[in-house]
Amino acid sequence: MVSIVFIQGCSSPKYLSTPKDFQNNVKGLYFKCQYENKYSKITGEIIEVSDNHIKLLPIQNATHMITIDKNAIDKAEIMVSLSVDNPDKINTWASLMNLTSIGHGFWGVFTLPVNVSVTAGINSKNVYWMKYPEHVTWDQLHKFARFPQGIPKTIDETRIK
Amino acid sequence: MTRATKYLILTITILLFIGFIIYSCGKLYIKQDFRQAYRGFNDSIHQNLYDQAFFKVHLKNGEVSLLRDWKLNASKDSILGNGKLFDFNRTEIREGSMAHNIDDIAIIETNQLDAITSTDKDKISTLAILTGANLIIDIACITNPKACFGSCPTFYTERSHSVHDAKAEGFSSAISPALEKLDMDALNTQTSREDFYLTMKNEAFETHLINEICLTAVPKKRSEFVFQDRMNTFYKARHMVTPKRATINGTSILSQVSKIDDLEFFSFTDKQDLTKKEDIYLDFEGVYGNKQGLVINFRQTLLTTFLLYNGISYMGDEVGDYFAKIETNSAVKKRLGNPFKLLGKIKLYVWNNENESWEFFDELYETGPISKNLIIAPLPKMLSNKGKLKIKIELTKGLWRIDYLGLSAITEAPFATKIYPSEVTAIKGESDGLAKVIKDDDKYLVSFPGNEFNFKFNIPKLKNQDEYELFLSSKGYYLEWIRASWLRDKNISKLEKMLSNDDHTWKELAIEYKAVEQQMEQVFWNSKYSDIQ
Repeated sequence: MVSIVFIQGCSSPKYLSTPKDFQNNVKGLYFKCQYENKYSKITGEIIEVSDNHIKLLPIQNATHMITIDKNAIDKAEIMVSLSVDNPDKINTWASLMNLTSIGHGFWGVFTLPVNVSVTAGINSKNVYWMKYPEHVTWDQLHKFARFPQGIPKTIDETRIK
Repeated sequence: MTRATKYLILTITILLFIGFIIYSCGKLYIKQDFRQAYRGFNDSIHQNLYDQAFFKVHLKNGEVSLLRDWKLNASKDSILGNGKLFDFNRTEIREGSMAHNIDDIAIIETNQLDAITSTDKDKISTLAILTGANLIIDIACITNPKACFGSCPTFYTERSHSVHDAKAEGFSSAISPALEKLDMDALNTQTSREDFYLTMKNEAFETHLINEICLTAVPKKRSEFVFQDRMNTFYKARHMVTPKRATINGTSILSQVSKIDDLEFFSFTDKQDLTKKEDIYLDFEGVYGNKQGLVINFRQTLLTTFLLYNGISYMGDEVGDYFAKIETNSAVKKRLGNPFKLLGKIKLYVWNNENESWEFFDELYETGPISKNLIIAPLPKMLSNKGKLKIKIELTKGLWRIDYLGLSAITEAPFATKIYPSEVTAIKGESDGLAKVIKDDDKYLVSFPGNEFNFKFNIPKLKNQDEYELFLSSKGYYLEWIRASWLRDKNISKLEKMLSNDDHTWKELAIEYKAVEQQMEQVFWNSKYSDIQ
């Protein structure tokens, strides 16, 4: 159970592209932040970044865009892509490794922490990240949006998904 | 090593573990300049982007074009290339050759793909090393995972390191809390001492939860025998008569069943039908006098172990869900018993001379392949003909090992005393009190693999008798530890068919068991917990 919790906590997001598919990715990168005095959390695709706001399409509710004021965001992280081409294979393999400890009897007391530690480390490093504002400034953020030029006026924003 | 030292080591291990987890949950950060965006065509054309293999052209209408190759047209007012065009929701519109007028282009984007490299190889290498290390520990069970030791609590009356010396195994069929069961076993042990010690071991990869332990002591003369029937009624006997003939399919098995010893009769399962029956015929002579009972000393082969482990492995990673259903859904709980009902009990018949037919008189069932069960099955009435008596035993081929068959004139034992333990000592493991095993309540003594507990019983003083015959009652259940290798065999469809007694599935199981039947005993006895350690 412990191992599953750790692995699930560090598992790879399905919406990110793999390194081999990154060159074909035509969507925005994913922005993860706390806003409104840290009372709200959101992870969503960057749709547009203007001088004073960012528009995100949340991964949980991809039918309604959310606009967040620049001043409401102190810090954030941008998920660029996965760092592995076969995340399912690696996650499954790592999870099964932890389960082998069940068959180790008393030695499982020792093998489980080792298995969990190594596999949790492997799984946690499955994503390439950037930090805002340390790694990327507000002015640079727009190039990671779906529409780096801003949402064209001819597009009905409610139809973006 | 003291308990305090153990706790210290455990605490340090946990802290190191937490620290490592925190450390290992670090992230892979990259710089933002892997992506370049050029506002308008003129900006990009001056950056010499012709050698970029892939680049994206963001159009002013919100569409985006992903080009594998590109060039300017002769009039230098359009980009020509091959690739894909996507709409504003990034749904592919078309693939092939494209032409974009520079006035329609909003931003041109390029990415340095060297920054986004795959780390699969590193991770696979690490996991391969870890797998190798785990395999070394797993190796004992990998040769035949379904034959790994499973036993329920084993009870010993003397110090022994051999599981063959176990006097009893408790509640073997109680594989979940809902199936908790009281099990009484003859210990085949007599005592006239004022104290008696019993050792309980967990020699399997299971968690045992013991609700209640008690002895039943039946006083007797030294020359007498005491037996229990399946209803736990006790009978005394003075003599046991061995059969004159004991045959199966015309072959004598008398030498195997005429003594309580290590020599047993057993047969192998049918090649295609695990439920196929066979009959043992017994002829007794010199049977006179009072009420008679058939004495039988027996245990199971590994067929039920095979079926149980297969059933659990078919559950795969849904084993927790299934066991939760057993607790809450009586229909599921009932279905779980179907395979064992299909295999059937040992059915006993006596020849009725008046009707000239076999008359059914009892049926027996005890789960467990380790310790033998000594049971008596009282005959309904005296059916001997001039001292001759015929008995037929119908049993499933390959399911039972029969050590002894005999007849005994019996009288019901008038006295039996229940004795609860007065002390519980942990030889290996943690024991936090006697109170957990002296009452059928919601308190359980928990025993993990390798644990051993010693129970002391104060035996009442004897009056006009020489000794007590001892029987052990144990109530509880156990939880099988799921072997990692079992998860590979997940097959819910087969499980459902197995529980529904599907003919084809049972035929498959018969073939699978046949392949391992002969080696299974050896692997089973070599794979108990202590041997693997």
